[in-house]
Amino acid sequence: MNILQLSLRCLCRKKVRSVLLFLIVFVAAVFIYAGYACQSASVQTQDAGRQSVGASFRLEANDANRSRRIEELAAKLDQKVGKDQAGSLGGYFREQLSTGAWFTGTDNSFETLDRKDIEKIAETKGLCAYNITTANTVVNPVHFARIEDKDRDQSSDLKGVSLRGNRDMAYDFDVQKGNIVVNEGRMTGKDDKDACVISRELAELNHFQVGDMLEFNDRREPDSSTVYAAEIVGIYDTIQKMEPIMDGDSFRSENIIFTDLSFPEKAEGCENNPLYQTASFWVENVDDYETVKKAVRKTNIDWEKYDLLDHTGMSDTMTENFGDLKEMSVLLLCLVLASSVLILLFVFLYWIKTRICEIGILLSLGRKKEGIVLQMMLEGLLIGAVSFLLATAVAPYVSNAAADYLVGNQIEQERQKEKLEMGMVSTSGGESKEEVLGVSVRIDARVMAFTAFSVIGMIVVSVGLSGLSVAVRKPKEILTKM
Amino acid sequence: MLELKDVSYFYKSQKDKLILDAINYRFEKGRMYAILGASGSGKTTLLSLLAGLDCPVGGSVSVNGKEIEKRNLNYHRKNNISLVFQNYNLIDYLTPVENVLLAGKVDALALLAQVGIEYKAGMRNVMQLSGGQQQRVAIARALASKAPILLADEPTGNLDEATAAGITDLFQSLAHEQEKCVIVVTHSKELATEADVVLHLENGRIA
Repeated sequence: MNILQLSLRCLCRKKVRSVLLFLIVFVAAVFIYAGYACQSASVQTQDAGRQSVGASFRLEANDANRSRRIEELAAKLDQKVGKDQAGSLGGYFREQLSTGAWFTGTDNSFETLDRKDIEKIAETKGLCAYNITTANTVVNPVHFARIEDKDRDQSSDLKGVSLRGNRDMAYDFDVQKGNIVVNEGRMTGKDDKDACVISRELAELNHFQVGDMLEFNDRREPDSSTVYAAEIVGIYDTIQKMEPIMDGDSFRSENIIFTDLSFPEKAEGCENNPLYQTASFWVENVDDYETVKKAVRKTNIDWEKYDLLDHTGMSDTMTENFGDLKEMSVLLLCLVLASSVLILLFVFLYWIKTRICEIGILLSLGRKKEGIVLQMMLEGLLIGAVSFLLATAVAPYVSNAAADYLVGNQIEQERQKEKLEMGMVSTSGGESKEEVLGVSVRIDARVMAFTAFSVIGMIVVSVGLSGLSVAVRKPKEILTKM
Repeated sequence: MLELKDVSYFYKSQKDKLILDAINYRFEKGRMYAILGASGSGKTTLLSLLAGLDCPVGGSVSVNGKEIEKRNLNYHRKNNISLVFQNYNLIDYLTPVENVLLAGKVDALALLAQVGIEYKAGMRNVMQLSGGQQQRVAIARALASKAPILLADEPTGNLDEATAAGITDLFQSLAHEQEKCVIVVTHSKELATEADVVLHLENGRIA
């Protein structure tokens, strides 16, 4: 009778022992699948985040640099015109109000991102597209009404509508995130001039349709400033309202009008003096994200003026959380493997103890110790094979449930964090909500191979270790325990 | 056939107390030996050394002039000896037929019939057999190995008189009809009286 025949008989006739071993290996295999699923879910979610908005970088002005430049210009202005004297320098100005108080400020030329710098970055190899977005510019709607909330205090409102210029509207944050969808007409593009896209609400309120002209002028001098007209080329529907950057109806979602890149500055009365607030750059191949990012960083511009932000559809916290989740899943896998080996080791030690008579008989029949340990290993592997197959059958359900739960948990944490931070930090139109609606974890050959090798490894290691208790004993010692 | 030359043995924990003290003896085939002795006299230790389950600290055990330790103890256990224990020592999840087949490819049913186990009992689980039947299965397994030496440690210790007598007859027939060397360690005087040679073990020596 060979060891396979003996193993099969043992497994079939010692049912309780076999079922116990089966359950342990089955649970371990399911946990390995679940752990692996969490790992791939975190990677998948990050990738999905990048893919959903296109892996990109966002260029913004650096706040610290801005403050430093203001201080430097203020000092230079003091030297130039003297202290407490009105004047302007490099986009920084100082003037005395009618009340006698001094007012300092900056104009668009100071605040804007440098278009030349943006275009230099855009030439980086690996980037496929870029967009420039202006600040939300409040202008006066000349002959149409805006959406207003009559119950809301509008005393501090700027009494206008917001224009947001884009080099290519298709790459605007809110379009990319799916917050708005242009269902009628089209979006503005880089070749457009004096074109705009308005909200469905605004169109309905004013009975506008695609092709109509809208007129705007400087909100500070609504009666005397030049009026500029833009043609409505599209009407957007709001899926999720855009976050207002300030209080008042000028910034409410329905009153945001998307235009070509150069229109806002004209309507504001600052032609050729734009205020580019952000620039975004899209990576051609998501997998090259980090390489392209390094290449972008090497662009010869004054980086002190800028912040280059990852723009992957997730906040840094969420990215960090998913990184943690990946680490956690690795830890989980290690823990599952280690604890499974430990449990199996005790099971096999107990198994050997209860089979000492059988071992003694086989030794007395001239069987080698290695052969006896090999028989137990074979029994373990046969059970392991059945456990693995069944675990593989249920793995898609368990893994998806585990991945959904953990990813959902991370997103919920992120939401809670956002709630807590609401009102504490300023947000721009670029901070949009990312929805991850479930994660699908595919049990592919790689995952199966990993789990199979883990199961085999666990069994071989635990039987091998417990087999030492047989290997180090003399046959007589074993027989005296019978 | 099976020869002990100056065989000594002590436990590592009690090196000053010799369990076996320079024993010299030669066992011949076709004879049944009974080894008698008080508890702790070293009977089972001697059997272990003969079976190759342990090694003497001094001297040697040889089969047909070849030292078993030099050749390989596994080989010795597999080819030269077959063992029968007091507690039968059958594998509990196997049938009698399968237990016999553990020792080698043989006509297990015929061997079982030879020791008085009929076909129906041979196909049941060994744990469903009586003590006497289980010991017969153990002997059938010992026969299956075709080894020339049969070592038995208290083979009738757990059996009633009638069954024990049957087992003793079986040993005798194995020695006399099949030319095996049967060595039985026992307390049973009934069994010893049926043996061709009775050896008394006292103070680590054969008296």
